[in-house]
Amino acid sequence: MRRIMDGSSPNRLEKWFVLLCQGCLVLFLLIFLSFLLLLLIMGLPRLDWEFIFGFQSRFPDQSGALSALTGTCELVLLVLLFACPIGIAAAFFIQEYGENSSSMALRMISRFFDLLLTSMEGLPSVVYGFLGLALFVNILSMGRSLLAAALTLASMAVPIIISNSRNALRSVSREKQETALCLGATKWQAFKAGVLPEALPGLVTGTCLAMGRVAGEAAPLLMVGAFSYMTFVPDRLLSPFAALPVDIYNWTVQAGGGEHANGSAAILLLIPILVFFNAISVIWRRHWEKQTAEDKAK
Amino acid sequence: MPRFSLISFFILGFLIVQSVSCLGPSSSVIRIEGSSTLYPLSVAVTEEYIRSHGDARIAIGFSGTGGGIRKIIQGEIEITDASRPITPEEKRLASQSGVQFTELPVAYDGIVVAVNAANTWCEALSVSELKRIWDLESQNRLNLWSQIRPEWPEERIYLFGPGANSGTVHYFSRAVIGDAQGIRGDFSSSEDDNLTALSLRNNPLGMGFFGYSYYQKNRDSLKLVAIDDENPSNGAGPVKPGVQTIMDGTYQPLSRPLFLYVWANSPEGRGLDEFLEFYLDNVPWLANEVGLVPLPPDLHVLVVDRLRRGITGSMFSNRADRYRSSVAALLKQDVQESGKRNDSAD
Amino acid sequence: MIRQTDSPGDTLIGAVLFVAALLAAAVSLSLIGLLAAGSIEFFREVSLFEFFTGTVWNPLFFQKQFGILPLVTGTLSVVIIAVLVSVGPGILISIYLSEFASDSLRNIMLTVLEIVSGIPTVVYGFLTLFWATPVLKKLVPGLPAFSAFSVGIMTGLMVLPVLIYLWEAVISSVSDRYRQGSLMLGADRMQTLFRAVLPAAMPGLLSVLILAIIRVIGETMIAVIAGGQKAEFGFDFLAPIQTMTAFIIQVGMGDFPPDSMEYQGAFAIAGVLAVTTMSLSLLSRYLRRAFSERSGR
Repeated sequence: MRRIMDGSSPNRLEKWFVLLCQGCLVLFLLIFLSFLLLLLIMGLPRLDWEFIFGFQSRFPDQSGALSALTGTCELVLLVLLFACPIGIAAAFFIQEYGENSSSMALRMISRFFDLLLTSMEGLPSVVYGFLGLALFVNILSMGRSLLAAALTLASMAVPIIISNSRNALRSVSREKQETALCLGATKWQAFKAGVLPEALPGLVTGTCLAMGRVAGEAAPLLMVGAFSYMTFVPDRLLSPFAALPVDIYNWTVQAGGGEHANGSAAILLLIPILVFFNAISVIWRRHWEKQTAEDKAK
Repeated sequence: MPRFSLISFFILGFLIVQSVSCLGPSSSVIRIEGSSTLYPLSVAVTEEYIRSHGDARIAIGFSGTGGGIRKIIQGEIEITDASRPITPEEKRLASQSGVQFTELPVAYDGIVVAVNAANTWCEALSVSELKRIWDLESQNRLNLWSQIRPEWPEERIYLFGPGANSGTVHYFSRAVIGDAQGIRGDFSSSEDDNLTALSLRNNPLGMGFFGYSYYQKNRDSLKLVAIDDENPSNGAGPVKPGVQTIMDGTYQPLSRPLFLYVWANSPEGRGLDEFLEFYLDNVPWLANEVGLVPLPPDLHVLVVDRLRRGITGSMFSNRADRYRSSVAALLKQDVQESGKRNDSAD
Repeated sequence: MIRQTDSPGDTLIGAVLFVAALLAAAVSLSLIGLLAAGSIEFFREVSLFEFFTGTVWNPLFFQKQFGILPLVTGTLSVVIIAVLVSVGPGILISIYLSEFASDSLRNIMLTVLEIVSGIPTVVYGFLTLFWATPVLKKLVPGLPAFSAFSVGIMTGLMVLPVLIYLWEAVISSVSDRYRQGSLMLGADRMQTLFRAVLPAAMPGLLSVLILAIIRVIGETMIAVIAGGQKAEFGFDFLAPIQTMTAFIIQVGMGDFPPDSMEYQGAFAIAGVLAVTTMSLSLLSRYLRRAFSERSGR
C-alpha cells in the first residue's frame, strides 16, 4: 500500500498493527546486532597477524587458522572452476535451447533436466557430504583430499547456480533477442546480443550466492574428512585439507575460553569472505541496473 | 567501478596464485589418524617438531582407533594413534594386504568416568555397578539413577561416551564388562570426545567416560568418579584417576597403554623415522602437558630400541589377556625374543 | 519464438551446452543412484516395516535397532519449534516492509536481510552455545541447555532472514489490482491487507514457508552441537534429540567401512531426507507457479 496513495489516516487497528510490526523488526535487529557484538567482543581481540598467518597449536592463544583459511579459499576457487561453467551452460541449455528446440526429444530431455536439477536444490548439505564421501572418497579412491571436497561442494553448487542463472535469464525481456532473430541473426548471436548483457548481473549474482553458500558449509567437509590439525597449507589436489567452517566447529566444541575466542575470530575471518561474494554481486547488480536505466532513458 | 573490478581481480589473482601449485605431483606428507585420546599428544609433539623441521608436512585427524587402523591397513595414512592394541582380525587383514606395521607404546592413560559437577550423589562406583550400568542387558532398561543405587534420585540418567570406532569404547567394554561387544548402544556417542564432554558439561544428570585429558580440560564443570576394582590386593576401596594412580597401576581396570602403529614399509621412509625418534624422545615432557602419563624411563628405552631395530608386528600376538598383562612385561619379553630373531611376523 | 533451422555455429554451441547440462544431470543422477543402491542394500537386512514404524534407533554398537521414528520426531520437533518462532515475527516484518515501510527503509532492510541470510549454520551453532544458552538460562532458569527447544529456537532465528526476504518479495509482487480494487470499494488499509492482499499471496507464502521448512530439515550443525545426540521417540521439547541430519554426521565422522550396517543406515536416512526434501521442493515450486499465475503482477 506504500505505492498506492490512499489519503485516509490510519485507524486505531492499523496504528497498533504497524506498531507491532515495527516492534518485531526492532527485536529482530536487536537480536542480530547482539550476535554481531558477541562475535566481535569474543573474537576481535584474537584477530591478529599471528592468527591469520599461523598454524594451529595446542596452546589456544598461539593457534592460527592459516591452513584452514587457505583451504577455504582454494575450495571456493576450485568449486568456481568446476561448477560455474557447467552450471551456467546447463542453465543456458535448459532455458534457451531445450525449451524452444524443434526436436521433441530435446524438449523432453530438457524438461527432465529441469525437474531433476530443481529438486536437487533442496537436498541437505549433509546428504551431499555423505554422497561425496561415498562417491569421491571411497569409490573413486580420492581419499580425504582437497579434490574430493571440491567435487562434493561443486555438486552441491551446480543446482543452485543453474536455478539462479535461470531466474536471471527469465527476468530478461526478450525484445532485443526477437528483433535480432527477425533481422536474420543466428540463435546464438541473438542470444548473445539480446539476452546476455541484461542477464549478466543476474548470472554473476547467482554464482556469487552459490559460492557464498558453499564456502560456509561445515557438514559436507566434516564428512569428506577435513583434517583438524595441519602443519602446512593444503597445496596439492590430493593433499589433506582443512577449512574454516570445520575449524570453527572444532573450536566451538572445545572447553576453554581461548578456544572459544579462536572460534569467534575464525568466524570473523569467514564472514568477510562470504560478504565479499555477496557484496560483489550486490554492487555489480546495482551498477548494471543503474547503467541499464540510463541506457533506457537515452 | 573499474577500480572495484581491478581490486576483485587482484584478490582473485592472489587466490589463483596460491592454488596453482595444486596441480603438481603429490609430495611427501605424514598423515596421522586414529584415537581422539592420543590426538592431543600427537599434536603437541608435531608442534614441537615443526620448530626444528619447519618444512615437515604433517596432518592429524581423530576419527577413532578403529578407523585409523583400517586406514593404515589400506595404506592411506602413515601413523595410527591407537588407544587399544590391534585385534587378531585386524592383524590378519594387515598381513593380507601386505602391510607391515611397527607397534610402539608411547604413554599411559586412564579412562575416567565423570559426572556433571552439579551431581552431589555419585562419588564412587564399583566395577560391578559400572558393568551393570553399561551392560548390553541394560540397553533401554536401566534409565534411572535410582536403578543403580536405590538411595539415588529417581531421575533420568543420560549416558555419554565415545563413538563406535573408538579404542576407548573397545577397551572400556573389555575391561569393565568383559566383552568388547558387550556394551549397550543407547548412549549419546560421538567420535569427537570434545563433543561428548561438552554434552556432559551441560547435563546435570549425565554420566560419561573418556580419556583423562578430556576430563582435565573440562575440570571446572565435571566431577570424577572413583572406581573400586573390588580387588583388595590392588589397594582397597575406590581409587580416583590421577597421574600417580595411573602410573602405579592402582587405578584399575581403566588404566591402559596408548600406542602408535606405524606403517613400516611406507614410502615415506627417512622422514618418518626421524619424526618417530623425535616423538619418543619428547613424550616424557609433553605427555604431562596434555593430560597423559609418560612411560617409566626403563620401558621408554625398550620402546626406542624397538623402533631402532625395526621390530614389526604386535607384541600382543598370542596372549590371551591383553589388557591385564603389563605392557612392561610384554615389552621386555618381546624385545628379548626378537633380539634373537630380528623380526616378528605374527 | 521464431523457429528456424539452426546454423552450424548454433548446433555446435547447442551441443556444448547440452553436454554441460548432461554432465550436471549425470552427477546428480549418480548421486541419486548411489543413494538408491545404498538404501536397497540396507533394506535387504532391515525390514521396511521395522524401519518405518520402529520407535527405537540404535544403529551403532551391538544389538542394533533401526526404527526411524525417533529421528523423525527429533527432526520434527526442531521444525515445529523453528516454525513457531519464526512465522509470527516473519510475516509481520515482511508485511511491514512491503506495505508500510518507506522505500529507503525497505531497501536498506532488504540488503541487510540478503547479507544476513548468508550466515553459515556453523556460526549459528557457535551462537547457540554462547548466546542462546546463557540468554535462555536467564529467561527461564532450570531450562536444560541441550534440547530440541534450544536447537529449534536458533534454527528459527537462522531461517528468519530468508523467510522475511522471500515473503516480502511475494507480498510485493501481489498485483496492485487487488489493493486498488479493494480500496476503491471502500475498504480501509487493514481490511485490504487481510481480506485482499494476503489471501491472494497465500500460495506464494506457503511456497516460501515450505522452502524454509526444507532449510530447517536440512540444518545440521546446530543440532549436532547443541542437540545432545540422543535419539529418543517422542515430542518432549526439553529433552535431548538427534535429528536425521545429525545421525548422518555421526556416521560420516566415525569412518565406518562402506559395507557396515552403520554406513548403510546412513544411506537409508539420507534417502529418506532426499525423498522428503525433493517432494517438498516440487510442492513449493507448484505453489509458486499457482501464485504467479493467479496473483502476480
